[in-house]
Amino acid sequence: MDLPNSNAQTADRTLSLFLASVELKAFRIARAALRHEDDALDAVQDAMLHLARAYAHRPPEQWKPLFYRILENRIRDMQRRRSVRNRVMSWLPFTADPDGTSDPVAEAVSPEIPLVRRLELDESLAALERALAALPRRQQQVFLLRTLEGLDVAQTAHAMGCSQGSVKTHYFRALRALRAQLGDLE
Amino acid sequence: MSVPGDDLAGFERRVRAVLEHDAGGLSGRVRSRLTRARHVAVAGARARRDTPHWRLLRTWLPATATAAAALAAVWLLRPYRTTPAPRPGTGIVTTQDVQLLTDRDGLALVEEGDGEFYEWAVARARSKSTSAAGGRGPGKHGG
Repeated sequence: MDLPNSNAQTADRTLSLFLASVELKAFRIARAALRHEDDALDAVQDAMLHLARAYAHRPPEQWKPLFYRILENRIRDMQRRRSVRNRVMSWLPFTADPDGTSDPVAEAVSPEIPLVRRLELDESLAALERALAALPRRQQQVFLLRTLEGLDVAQTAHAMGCSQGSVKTHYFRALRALRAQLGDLE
Repeated sequence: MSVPGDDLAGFERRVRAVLEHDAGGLSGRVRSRLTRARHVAVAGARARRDTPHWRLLRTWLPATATAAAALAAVWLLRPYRTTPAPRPGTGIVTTQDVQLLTDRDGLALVEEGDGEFYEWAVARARSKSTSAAGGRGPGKHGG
């Protein structure tokens, strides 16, 4: 039996399972911050690749905070770059709309989600996304990491590069602001 | 605006439910790209593991660690170097001090209460230092 090869396969499988477990939530967190689907996909892809290349040798229990730390840095970089790009583009007379060429087939919703249930929740979701988008970025990210990804306070602090006290403050403020804006979310 | 804690907890649950619902409703294009990204990342980790640099590190790491441990052991177990005797009054206890303290003859002199020898020794030391400073001959003390 080729033991090193077997170990490598196990390592690949462990990493793949971890990435599969975080990819959808990571995409939603990135999309909330960047407000652009393709940019969010790029950010998640970069974070996955960076984690795999630089930290795959670390124990798997350390991966989640590391992954979200990388993603957070990537989102920040993209926001900075976008802000510079927007400033430059604002000087140009004609600007193509990158969002005007969406493919309706590719955008089709996954069929395994019941349509009735989806319609019931779509309105709430749209309102929630608008409210989330209006939050300050740190509050938004802390809120999504805690609520959507389920990171605890310490892991969120590590992912965000801030203190645990800051995480608690950001989270509470985000929750209160969303509650004030959305009322009883159904 | 202050919001009661129970309301906040209930609101938090509802938000989570809405968010989880959305996570299941992503488009096929997004899911496909995420799957592709995952495969690329795993392949990247594999490629990194298989680079000559990593293989070399993995091969030589145990040997290097063993050599380092051996060097450390040699350094720790090496014999002590003899150091020059400290000047009197520096407060450092040396082997010479221990020899003096365990000197049986010295103890016998003390036990006999014969202080004359010590008076002589002190006076002799003083006369030597005086003669060295003034360039004069030895003092009046005799054996």
